[in-house]
Amino acid sequence: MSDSDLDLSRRGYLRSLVAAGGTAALAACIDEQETAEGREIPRGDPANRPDRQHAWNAVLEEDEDGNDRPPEHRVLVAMDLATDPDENDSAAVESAFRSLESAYAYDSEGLLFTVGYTSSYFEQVGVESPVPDPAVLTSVEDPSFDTFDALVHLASDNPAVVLEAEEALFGEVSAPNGVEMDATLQGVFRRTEPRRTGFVGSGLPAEKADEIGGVPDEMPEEAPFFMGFRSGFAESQASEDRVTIESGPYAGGTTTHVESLGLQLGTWFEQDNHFQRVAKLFSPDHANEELVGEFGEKLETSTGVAEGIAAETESDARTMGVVGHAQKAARARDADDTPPLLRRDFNTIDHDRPGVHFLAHQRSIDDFVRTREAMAGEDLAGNGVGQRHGNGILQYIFVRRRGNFLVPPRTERALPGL
Amino acid sequence: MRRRNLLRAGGTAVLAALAGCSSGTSSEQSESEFDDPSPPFSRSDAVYHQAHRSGMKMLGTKQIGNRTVGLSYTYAERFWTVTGTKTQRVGIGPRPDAEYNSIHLMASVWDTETETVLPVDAGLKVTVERDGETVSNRAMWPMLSQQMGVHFGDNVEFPEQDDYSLVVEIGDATVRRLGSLNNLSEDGGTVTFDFEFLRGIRNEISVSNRLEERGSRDALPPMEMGMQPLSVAPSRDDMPGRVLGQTKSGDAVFVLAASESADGTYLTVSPRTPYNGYVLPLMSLSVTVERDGTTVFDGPLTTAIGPDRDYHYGTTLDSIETGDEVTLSVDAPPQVARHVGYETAFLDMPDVTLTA
Repeated sequence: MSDSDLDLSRRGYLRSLVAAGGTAALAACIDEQETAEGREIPRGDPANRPDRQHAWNAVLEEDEDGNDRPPEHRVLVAMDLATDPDENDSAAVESAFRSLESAYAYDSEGLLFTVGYTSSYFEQVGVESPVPDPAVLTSVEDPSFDTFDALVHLASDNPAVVLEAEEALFGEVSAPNGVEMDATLQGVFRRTEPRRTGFVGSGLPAEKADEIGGVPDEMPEEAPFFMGFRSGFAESQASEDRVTIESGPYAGGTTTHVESLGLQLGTWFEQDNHFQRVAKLFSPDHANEELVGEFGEKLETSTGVAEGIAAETESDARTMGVVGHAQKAARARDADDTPPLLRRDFNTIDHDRPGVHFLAHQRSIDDFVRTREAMAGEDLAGNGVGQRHGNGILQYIFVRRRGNFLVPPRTERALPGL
Repeated sequence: MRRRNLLRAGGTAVLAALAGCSSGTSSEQSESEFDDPSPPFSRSDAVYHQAHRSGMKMLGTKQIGNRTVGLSYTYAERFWTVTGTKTQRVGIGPRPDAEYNSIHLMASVWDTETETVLPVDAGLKVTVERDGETVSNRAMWPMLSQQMGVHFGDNVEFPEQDDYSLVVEIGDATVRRLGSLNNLSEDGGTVTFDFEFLRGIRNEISVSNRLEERGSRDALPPMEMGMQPLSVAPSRDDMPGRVLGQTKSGDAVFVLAASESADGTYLTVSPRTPYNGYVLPLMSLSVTVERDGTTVFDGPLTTAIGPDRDYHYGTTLDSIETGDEVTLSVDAPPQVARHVGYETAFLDMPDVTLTA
């Protein structure tokens, strides 16, 4: 076994621990890391964190082309209120989050996280919800909805960090990274289903694929996402400013939509060829002119869909019989070509099936709905492409869940509206 | 490097042959004889008779609203997906043993009253479940085969012999509906079939060679279906209105007809396969009408379905008069996946003109 093989299998093991969760997995994870590298996890200071919970970009590393490189390991912790909360609870919740901020540095080696609240939460505390209930957005889906109260999105390049932070919030670990928790969420929140986990990064999907099987060998080894291509190009991401709420009680905050998707990768990799995949994911022009490369390496920082390709969506449907996912989505951009969504999505093998937790921040859920409707391309169905067939990647993705969350500014993140 | 390439590098001749079949532009590819029972001689861009006849097993029919869903299967089969004018050959499965636990699953949806097969534009999806747990999801390919006409299909592999549920989500009606088909609900709904996957049952399906006819300019005739209607276009004589003529492009037969309505003249363009006369779905067509050297109409056709015209492409214009030159342009050929015998036809489709 070569060093790189060893490294791959070890990373796969660490990721499986994140998926499993719990203190036993955490212990195994820490053991593994200590023996393997003895790397110290940097501590942090709450005073260094900005007011926007979603302000991660400043501390993300960049890839070789200058795109932000998202944290590798993720956990989405679903929570229900365990009490009728008061101001003391609010102080405890804030204290718990600040403890995590002391335990871990504000970067991908430490911990990046957001906490968001659903309409169900706001209903319970008797305040009008700033976000709508999740709803069916396309005619080809029948999703479950996130009806629990709150969601913590934990992100780090270090699998032990997301595991330990989760356990610390609920009192299963008293001193994460050696820093005592001043308070926990216990008594205010209890964990509920679904616990969602995932990963993103070059090589990780191929490696994960081997663990669960059923993912075709045709997936490029280097691909950071299951669909086999890079994503999250700087040019197709909204800025943090663009997704920040500008006024009202939650000014400085944002919203989160989580769309959990199943993927049919057998069809995608074994029944389509690279030309077809590029045409369906980007645009027919990208396929004809070979703009993408094997896994998107030619694209650098831009999908290039803004440069007139989005405007050709309808004519491409008629003359090419296929339209691209990115091409369709770009139709929802602002007049100045700014995309309205800041994607922080990641791959998953929850339930041992390949999927995506498509997590996006936007100023309002309306921005998400508008973009998602553009992606669905229902206006194109019957005009050269079908509801799914030839209509971007809709033949390969199946929406399972949706949830809407308000992510308040950091000052309001502990039980907003109380 | 793709991981498959690593496999290929160290693989046996059999592996190499299978790998070679799973990528590349299919029509220009050499194929090993045992894997491909198709004609060994070069093919024209025309329909040819397939080399074997397969039976199938009907899993049954279910009614929901005014639709009926029929589900059937046969052995896993090769087919070709189509994007624009390019095809991609799809083998039986990714591994040499994939066929062992696989079937080719076929779904068809029709209007119960008129037995009109409903368009394959809708995003029909099949979920394979076992004990309430999802085993796999498939948005089925719209397909065309010599024995079955247009249907939804795909090769589906099961983990083992067992009892499964096949949950069929029909999808919405997206094309223009005429006549009594206006009564169809938008949303097709969902029906569930029980299916016990047993290789012994599957292997009862008969297959016979058609070595005499294989490769000839012909097609295997439609299967006798009994309980399930096939997507056969109306014959020229049965076409409503005044038949303007018939022409061919890319080996497809186009029948054109005009009928008068309160809004003007409805032009029906009905492309179909030669020999079996199946409708050709998922095309983009435009038409130009010239009268005495002047263009009187130039525009795209809309996909539509009606109980008398079946699946077709149409538009309403002021009038079509005897002597008008009607030019049909194929903006995109049928984006329907092809079973053997149809994979080279209906791709290169030049403009055609006929005189009304």
